[in-house]
Amino acid sequence: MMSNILATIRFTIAQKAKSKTLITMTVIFSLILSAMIHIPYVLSLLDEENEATTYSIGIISEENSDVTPSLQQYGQQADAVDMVLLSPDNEDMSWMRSTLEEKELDAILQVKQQSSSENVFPTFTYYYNDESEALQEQIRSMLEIIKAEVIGIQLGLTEDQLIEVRSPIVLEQVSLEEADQVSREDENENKGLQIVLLYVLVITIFMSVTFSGTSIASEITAEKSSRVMEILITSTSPVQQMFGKIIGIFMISLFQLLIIAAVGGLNVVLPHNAEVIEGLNIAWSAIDPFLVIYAFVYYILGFFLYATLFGALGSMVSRVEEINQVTLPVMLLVIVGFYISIWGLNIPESSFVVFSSYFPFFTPFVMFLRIIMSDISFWEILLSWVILLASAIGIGVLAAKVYKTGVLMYGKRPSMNELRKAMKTNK
Amino acid sequence: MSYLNLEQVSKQYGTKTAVQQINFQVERGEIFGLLGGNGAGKTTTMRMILGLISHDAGDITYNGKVYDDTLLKKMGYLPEERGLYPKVKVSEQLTYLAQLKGMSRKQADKDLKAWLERFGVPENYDRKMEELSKGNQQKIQFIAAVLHRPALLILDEAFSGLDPVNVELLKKTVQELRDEGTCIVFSTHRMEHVEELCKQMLILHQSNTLLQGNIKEIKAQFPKEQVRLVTAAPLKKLEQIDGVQKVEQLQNGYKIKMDREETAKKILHYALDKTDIHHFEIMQPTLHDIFVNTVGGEQ
Repeated sequence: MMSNILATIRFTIAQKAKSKTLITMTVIFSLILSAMIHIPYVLSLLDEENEATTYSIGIISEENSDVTPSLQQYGQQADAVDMVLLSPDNEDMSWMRSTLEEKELDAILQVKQQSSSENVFPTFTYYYNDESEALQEQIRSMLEIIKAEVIGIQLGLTEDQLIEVRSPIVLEQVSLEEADQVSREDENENKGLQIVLLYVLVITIFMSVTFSGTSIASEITAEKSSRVMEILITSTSPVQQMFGKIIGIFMISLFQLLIIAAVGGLNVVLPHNAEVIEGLNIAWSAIDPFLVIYAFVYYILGFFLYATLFGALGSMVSRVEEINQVTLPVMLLVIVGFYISIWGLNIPESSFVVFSSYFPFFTPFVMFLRIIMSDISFWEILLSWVILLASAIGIGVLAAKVYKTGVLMYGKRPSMNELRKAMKTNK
Repeated sequence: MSYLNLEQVSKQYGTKTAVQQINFQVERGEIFGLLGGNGAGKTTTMRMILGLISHDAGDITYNGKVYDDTLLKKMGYLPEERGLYPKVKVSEQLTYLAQLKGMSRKQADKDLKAWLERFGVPENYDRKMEELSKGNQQKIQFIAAVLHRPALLILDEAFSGLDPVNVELLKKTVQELRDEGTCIVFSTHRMEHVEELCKQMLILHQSNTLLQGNIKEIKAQFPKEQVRLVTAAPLKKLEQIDGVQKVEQLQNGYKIKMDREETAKKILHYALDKTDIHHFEIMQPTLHDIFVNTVGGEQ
């Protein structure tokens, strides 16, 4: 009898794989994912454009002071600053203003030699516009280094001593008070990635369940309305028929996910993306491999729980137009579960969230949230699995009974009472 | 021993009785006619035989054994409301259905091609069901019921909606299946098909068995009450003969209904006195007449 399930799985996959809706959806999701993965790269391109602008700073020096060549030298070393030596004649306020306004130069640095002594370091005036204001600090530290060097030379320091003077100060910051907070921040950063995993899981379950669920229900109704059902159930048992279809659609759904994941993976390893993403310093190690296994278990169990329910509902109506009516309550369950998991992010320990995490229809959405956001012992996870599995089997058995009865009932949608009666007379 | 055996089988839907204590046997290589008006309980009976619904009382045995899932593979069903996947290719769905019946894909494919060839529609192999004409859809539906060579074949209104050429083709096929030893339960409204194909029959009316048995014997039980008469010249006052109940003027001659068989002689004498006779026949009652009479009489 296993061969019947296999034949049904095979037939379902063969028919489903040709479905235009499925192909279109896979392509759309792949494109959206690709676009999302490219966001960091596109952002980095924009950053690079900003970095590419170099500032040109004009220098007005009264006479050839020692400082000017040093300034030019440092300007060359710094990537973003270009020093231009201007003639001393340009010391005209209105000229400077128009030059800065028209952005011919970004800033002007005027060097004023103290008249009293040659050995005294000059004073400076920095003329800037709104764009070069921020450069001031860079110029200041540049000048400080030059000053130290000039004085060092005047003091007759050796080249080694000069290097020592130039070398930056090592200042390690350790705040005992904040040490705890730092590690917590670290932890939150790790949580960030786990929360991403949570969103991926919740959205995946939501999408899979709603799309596959509707698809299962409508195919069963279509089989009923086209009356091929009478042939099917005289060939194979309804349970095999229903589970064959559900497994077939599950495999298609899984395959679709794999394709989308593969497209995502491919995008990540593209050289231009890989570089940027590496730069984001994502701590992949924060994701416990167990988390991925948990996610997969909730995905599978959640899928089958809802799929059997959709299957039973699909068997109750005779026309495809009526499907929305009967599947609406289940859709609401899915949506509520989805929202609890999003909304419960901030209050993972509230009794409502804890309770929902054991309610089988919400478990796939909510339990994973608790695993990530609160300390939860393994027996709780195990308990949620047991409840979920038991409900999936229970709903499966019930669904198979409803299905067996429902597929033979035509005409108006049976009420719960009529259905129960029919199930009784029908073994 | 008969292959299919129904003994005192009853089915209730709530307070409504769908089938009341029905009995019949079908041998291998026999076509059994199941007749009845709309809502008489034919479909319920067939669904009970197919194991789709359970019976409340009585026994249904197959080759001496009660129903179990392994029987599914031995049964073929042509439902009254035809249906296959409209958007799936004929070859794909029929091999799938045959696989469910335990056939290998390869064998099913090979046999399907042979059947399509036999019905003169090999080009339908690669077409979708919805692209076919109604008659061709019927042929495909019929193939779906017999492709896996069932031991028990249930045909519900097998020939409805077919043109006479295709009716003959399917009739011939059904007879061949019978000769190969298939046990066939055949339901229809068309009495002439039952007369041609079936040895035994059962008429259901409002959940009860109205009439049952060998068709020849049933027909013999009913008196021959009609005379078909064709004469050279028109005859008058036929209805004034003692025992004549009704005279129907046909395009070519008369159909005369009488109270008993002996009246025929009087009609013959009367006609011979007046003119030449081209044709004189005391007619057997048709199943149609029997059905209309018995079912009508009950109502």
